[in-house]
Amino acid sequence: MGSLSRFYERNGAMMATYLILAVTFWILILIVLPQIAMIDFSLRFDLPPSKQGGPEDVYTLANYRFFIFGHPGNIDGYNVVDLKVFGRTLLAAVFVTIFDLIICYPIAYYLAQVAQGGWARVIAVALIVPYWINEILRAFAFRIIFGDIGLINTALKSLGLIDTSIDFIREDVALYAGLGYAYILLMIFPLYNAIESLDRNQIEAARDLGAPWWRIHWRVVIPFAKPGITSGCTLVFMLAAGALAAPQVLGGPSSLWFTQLIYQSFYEYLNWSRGAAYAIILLVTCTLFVLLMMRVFNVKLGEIGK
Amino acid sequence: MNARAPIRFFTAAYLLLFFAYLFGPLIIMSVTAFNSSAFPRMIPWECLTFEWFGKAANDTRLKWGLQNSAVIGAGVVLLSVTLGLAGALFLTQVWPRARAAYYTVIISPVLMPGVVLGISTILFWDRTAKLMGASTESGFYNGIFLTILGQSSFIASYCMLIFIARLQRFDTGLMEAALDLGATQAQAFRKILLPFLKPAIGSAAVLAFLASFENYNTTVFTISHYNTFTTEIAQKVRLGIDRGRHHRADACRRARARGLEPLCREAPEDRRARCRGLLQRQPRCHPVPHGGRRGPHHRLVRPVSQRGGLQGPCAGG
Repeated sequence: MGSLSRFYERNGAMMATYLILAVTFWILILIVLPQIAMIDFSLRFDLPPSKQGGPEDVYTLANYRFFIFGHPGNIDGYNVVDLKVFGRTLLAAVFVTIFDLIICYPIAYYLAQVAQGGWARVIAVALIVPYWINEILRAFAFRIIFGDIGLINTALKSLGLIDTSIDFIREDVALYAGLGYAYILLMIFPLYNAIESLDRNQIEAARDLGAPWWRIHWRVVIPFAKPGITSGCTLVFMLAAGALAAPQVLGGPSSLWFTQLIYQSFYEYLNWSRGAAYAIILLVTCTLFVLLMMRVFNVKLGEIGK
Repeated sequence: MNARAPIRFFTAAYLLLFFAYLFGPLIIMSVTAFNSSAFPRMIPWECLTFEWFGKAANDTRLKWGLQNSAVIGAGVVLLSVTLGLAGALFLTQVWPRARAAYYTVIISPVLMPGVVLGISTILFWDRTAKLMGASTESGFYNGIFLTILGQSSFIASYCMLIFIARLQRFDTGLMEAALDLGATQAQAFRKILLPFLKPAIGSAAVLAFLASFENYNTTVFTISHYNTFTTEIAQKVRLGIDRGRHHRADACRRARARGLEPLCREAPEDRRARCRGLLQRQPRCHPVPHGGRRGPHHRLVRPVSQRGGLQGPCAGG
């Protein structure tokens, strides 16, 4: 209690009460308890309300078992469809992350170390402006470009290069382009923050010592920017794997994103327990994957600023 | 200097390419808004028209969505700025040993998929409502209320990051000086800290509103049978893409999943068409285990035929 009264003394009664109430509300009501409720739901059978709380309402791993093995009596023995969607989602999210890292690194470096004064500000604004436009519309713009009667297909046809439309949607080209586009900003800013704090003298020293440009990046800039690279990649990977808008607008008819399976569990099969279990599977797997990658690249959690 | 000329050339070319990727799709989309073709397209150009803007302005559903978005945005700004500020101030005072754990918990919503946040919010409040025996008309089932809470859980973290960045430049000596000169804690806060944080409060509020307005992943779960501007647009876009395939409107599905069926009526032929669409679309068909269900009132509100309509052909396939 000593620290509590000291806290009150330091902040004054009103401030201390506000701080404690607000932080408790945020952590408990908005973050922790909802997660616990979700875990609880995922560990129960999907029962009609009349049976809830009855003798059949017991804890079970059935929803998780369903994710791996599917329905009992399933010919394959495994829930091939859902597992495939899950694997594809993670793989595609990794792909999108790498794509964004590669295209954003030069821009972040340019903005942080090369561009100066007003020009740098113009570029920063130009980076932000497209993100004032709604996520759905940004995805839809790619539909207009890549669609069946979209810009590219119509242009190629009128030039006589192709006879039948190329199905960019089915091939997921549109989806990857749209997802990569959606998270550019989230990659650039952590990279920029990290590279910006690098002392220019270090780069110049390396150059004076005769290092070619690629070695300056490899040995000086990238090691220095590692925490920024990690936070950028973490953000993009988590959000790409959890994306719902872009896959709904740009996904092909036969390919699903894992979040779409969750959406279906909720709104088409009305099975909230399975939806909750799938959401937890997504969250836990992505978190573990990120932690594993941080270990592989030897970055500590504390190094990630923001 | 000559040796650097190619590098300059490549830099310029790369910048051009990058910004073409960034702006190209948006420019193309904006141009299609002026083409009279029913599907948004640039070629073939039919004729220049402003008709679509008139249509959008007269669309009552969009107007409703806009209104809901504004209400939710205002709520989110108030709640997230309040919580974010408290979170940032608390961080400077929490015991050093607990700081890392506290920071991890409070920053985690930024990294959580929006879908997870939305789901956990509705499940938690569903549970709470049942524990308290609240009816479906109560606030616990109100999509706007739930959306404000669901969105604030992560938008508050954004706000907190802005406040932390600003607080790092704060000279605590100023507060101490004020206290030494006899100011009360409340006075020192109001006269010193708050003015210092004012620009940060402004940018946090703007960011919170924008993030709330364009959010889809969380909102689509928490909004229930309402629609925000973004979910309304998403519904239009999806209906436009799946031409020929009959979707039940998104808001109707959500209402059904929450046991709020009477709020949304569907013509029987729509239902049949939709179920056929469902079969064509999905190579597999999960039978619905216990039939759909949710919400304390659903037994009263869901006609049996409706469930049969969804389940019959699916279970058969």
